[in-house]
Amino acid sequence: MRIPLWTTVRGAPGCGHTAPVSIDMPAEQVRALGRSLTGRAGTAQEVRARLLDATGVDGPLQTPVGLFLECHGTLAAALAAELDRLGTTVTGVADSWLQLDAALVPGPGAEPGR
Amino acid sequence: MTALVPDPVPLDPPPGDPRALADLAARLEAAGALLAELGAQVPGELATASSWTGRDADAAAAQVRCVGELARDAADALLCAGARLARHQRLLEDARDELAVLRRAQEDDLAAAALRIGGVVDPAAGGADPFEELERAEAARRVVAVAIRAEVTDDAAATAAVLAACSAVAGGSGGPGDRARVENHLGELLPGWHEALLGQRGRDFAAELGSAGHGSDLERTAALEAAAREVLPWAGDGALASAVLTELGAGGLRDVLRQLGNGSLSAGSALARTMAAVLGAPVPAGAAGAVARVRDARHVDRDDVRSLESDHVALGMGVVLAAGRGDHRAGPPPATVRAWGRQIVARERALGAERIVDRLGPQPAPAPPGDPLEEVLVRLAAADDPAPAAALLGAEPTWTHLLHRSWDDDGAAFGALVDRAAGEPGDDGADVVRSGLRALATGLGDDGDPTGWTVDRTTAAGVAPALAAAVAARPEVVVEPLSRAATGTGQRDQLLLRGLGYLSAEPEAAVVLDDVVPEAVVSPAGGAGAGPARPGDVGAGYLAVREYGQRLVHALDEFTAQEEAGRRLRITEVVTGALEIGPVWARPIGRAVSVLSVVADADGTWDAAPDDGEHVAVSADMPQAAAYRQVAAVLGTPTAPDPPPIDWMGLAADLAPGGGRARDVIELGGELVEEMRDLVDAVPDRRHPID
Repeated sequence: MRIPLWTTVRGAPGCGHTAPVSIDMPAEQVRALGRSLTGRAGTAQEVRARLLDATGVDGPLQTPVGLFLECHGTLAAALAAELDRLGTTVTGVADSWLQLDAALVPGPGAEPGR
Repeated sequence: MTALVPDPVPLDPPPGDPRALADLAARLEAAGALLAELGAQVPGELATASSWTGRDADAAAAQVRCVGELARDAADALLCAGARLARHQRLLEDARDELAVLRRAQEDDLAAAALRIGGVVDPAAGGADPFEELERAEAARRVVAVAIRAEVTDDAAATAAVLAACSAVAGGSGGPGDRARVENHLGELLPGWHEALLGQRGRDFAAELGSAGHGSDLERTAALEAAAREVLPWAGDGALASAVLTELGAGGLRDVLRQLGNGSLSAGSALARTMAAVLGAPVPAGAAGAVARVRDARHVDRDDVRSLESDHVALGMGVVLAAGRGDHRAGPPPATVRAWGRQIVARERALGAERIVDRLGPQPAPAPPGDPLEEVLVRLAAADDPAPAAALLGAEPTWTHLLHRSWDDDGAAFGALVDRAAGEPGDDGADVVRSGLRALATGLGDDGDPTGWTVDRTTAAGVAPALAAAVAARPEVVVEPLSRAATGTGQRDQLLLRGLGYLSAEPEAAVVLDDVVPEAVVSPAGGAGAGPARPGDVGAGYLAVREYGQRLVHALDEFTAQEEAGRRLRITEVVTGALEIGPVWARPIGRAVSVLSVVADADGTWDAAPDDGEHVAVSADMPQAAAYRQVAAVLGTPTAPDPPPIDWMGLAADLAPGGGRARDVIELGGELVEEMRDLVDAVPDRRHPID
């Protein structure tokens, strides 16, 4: 079974070979990194919450302020979503490696992996 | 004395709420601080897994650093904007304070002037004219107020410019259209977010498509167009496309196709272009299976011949394909187009070979759809991969149907498809050629009688050059059957060889075939002519095929003339029959019609055309004559029907007074003679008594 990795090119069929590369996968550390990144998404969400309301700003700055807040609100939301996705993906990579390990290196008394 | 106090100079505070600005500035400062902290912390998280190496680790680290850098830049922008807003807020407060001072002075001056004018204060006590003093003070205040307002206005403009500049970090410019610019810019920096955003947008669009069923047709069409226009810029993105298709499901896609096929929206509409882009988008690998199931589902019901629903769906397919014409990225992938093509062919066959595009008849639609099957052929012919085209044309029934129907482009797209499909290497490409040749002859009688033959000769002529080129590229497809037929074992190849004969009767095709087929036969290295036949036998067999084709075309022409004569005769019989049973005065008209029918070939006869086609034969004393005869025997002998003789006796009976009775007597006499002959034939021959 070929585990789809995060860096696998989307939509491209596997050619059966990967480029020669040195890989070190401390799964627990990588999972911790993933959890941290997901947690940081909350900070970006908090930033977005502070940029939602432009009530009371009238006069010549009303429109520029509205556009500015929309722009940076989108940016903050994007950062939050990206961090969340990064965290999930990094955690998923660690999980995939663990699955691969389990398949390749069977535990004591288990059937040999394929 | 009457005196008018001048209107006070307006000294209202300038627009803008300093408290709201102060609140906003504080929020921006706090948000900036949070982002700055985030920007510093996020890259630092990489230390958590510092021993993680490899391509995944590199990719993750690069994206984490990108997020951190963007957060820091955004923090700087927020802090800068907050500081500028705070500065403007202070200026605004100062301006309001100054104007308040002026307002109080103005109130004092007006009060003083009122006292003096009202006599409370004696004007004779000296001093200047109260009006003049008031006017001077007001003029001075006006100048100051204008300057204050100008300063506020200028500073507001400068603040707006700073806000716009601070939007650049997200791709904005502080002007209209920023939303799309920001999304595009951030989409490049933050692909994970962009994918999620477009996925949500796709699901929302699909939901709108599903819920736009209320109101009149016009309102529904307008709602669909508006929704499609919104997502069109991102419709070619795989994340949005897969979300749209999986959310719609096969049933939802069918509904959209039906809407597109009802003539209310053209191929240039936003909905058609959006769906073409959605169907052609490269979807993420994880969604490919689900998307393919939606695209390739059976959308056109072959068997539902009583309703027009499936016809509208098929026409909608044509609209989508037309919207993607000339753009390889738009429109469904070739495998889906092939599946759609098969569905359309199956339905048209179930409808008795009626074209779907003709089934709805002329309708006053704003955008009448074109022939969907032609769009399928155009698309497959333009595909980089010939396999889907070959898969469609590898089936003989498909060929039979495509040759049966007429084409608005006289078969140009069909010819292009044949060209593409025959380019498929291996047996699949060869099967295309074989199926095409066999379909050309399917239904022909041994004598060339086309009663069971369904080929449209115009369509066949349109596709002949491409099919001949395909034969020329794969001569083994015909050489091997010729070889078998030349040695007397080619009965199973009869259909293919007859098709080759018909094809060779097309001048453009003959030029190609004559050049290549004999070459393939004589080429020692080609191997195409390998078989039990002797050298030259296959060439002789090909001459028999050419001869068959020439005679077949003449026979077909005559059968066509016979059918047309029969049609004219039936009209004559209907007219004369009606006049015969009509009033007495109409009978002379019936006789006149009888005479005219002879003159106008409406009596079942026709003018037989001479067979002036080429005659291709092999001299009987040549060694290959036997092979020629063997192949000719397999092919059969097309025989043109002879026109019946003109029925002069019947005509005379019609014209002579009392001719009707005379004809009855003559016909009765004729029948008696026939019966006498039958009786004589039935009696045993007694001229040679048994010994």
